[in-house]
Amino acid sequence: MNPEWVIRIILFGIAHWILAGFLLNDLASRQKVFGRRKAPWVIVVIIIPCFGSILYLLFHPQIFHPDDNQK
Amino acid sequence: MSKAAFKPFILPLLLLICALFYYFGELVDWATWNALRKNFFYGVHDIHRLLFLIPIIYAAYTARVKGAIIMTLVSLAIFLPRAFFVSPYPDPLLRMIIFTLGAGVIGYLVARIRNEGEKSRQLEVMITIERDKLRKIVGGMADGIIITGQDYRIRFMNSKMVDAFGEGTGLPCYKLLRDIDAPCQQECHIPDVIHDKHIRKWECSFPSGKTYEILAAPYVDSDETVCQISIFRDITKRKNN
Repeated sequence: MNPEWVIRIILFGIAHWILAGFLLNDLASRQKVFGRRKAPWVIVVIIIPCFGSILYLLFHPQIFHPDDNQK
Repeated sequence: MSKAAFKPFILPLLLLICALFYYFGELVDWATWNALRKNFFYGVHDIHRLLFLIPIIYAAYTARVKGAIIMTLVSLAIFLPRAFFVSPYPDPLLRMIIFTLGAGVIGYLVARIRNEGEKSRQLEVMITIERDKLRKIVGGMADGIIITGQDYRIRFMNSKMVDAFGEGTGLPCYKLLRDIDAPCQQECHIPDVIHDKHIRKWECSFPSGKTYEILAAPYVDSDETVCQISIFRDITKRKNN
């Protein structure tokens, strides 16, 4: 395999798995999710590298306002 | 709809604007909007990337370190396709990684500063609550309390003491208690208490005709000065009987 592709895959992998870790943790602690079911979101976040995570963030922007969630 | 309801959508909107701006040249090509074809959208994208600092800093401000990391990684995910497949300029990956690391550090620092600010605000509130509680306790005591410095100046009097002798904070204790111009010769225990760190108890009669039992102990004030804290108990009735 071309070394350039290896770098691409590694970089995407790092970004994907760190993001997925944060978002799955958020998903597990969230009571309400868009679409009511958590399983499809787990699949989206894990299966679609990076862009699944962006999709999750677009539908759950409350993750960036933890202070409001506590109120 | 209230302003608060829009708040969660600020960040996705910012991100969308940044991403559109970042890939605007490609979007113009794809949609063949020739009127919008400007050289700026086809140059080196280092300046375009700076726009992503806004959502990263905003995320750090609202969601602290976690927000900064997530937004930095999301920005990285948006940068990667250009660095890998679009950019014709040299070292696109390296420039993108340097920017991402820098932006991540800035976001982290913003989050830390905000955390520290929040922590000091909470501490301030706690201190104020504790101080008020202590003031209520001291104010409600049946005995008088007076704190005197090494220079004989009164640093604090509780309300009981003010009722008995009048407000005298800042005045020398001998001036307020006895209306004289020099420290009391026989009955003053300040040197004993402050310098030798002894606890002293004695009885003292004042010109008003009242007799007090005084218990004095060393006390370190907030400015680290050793002072004397004295508790004045009115024993006039007991003495007269």
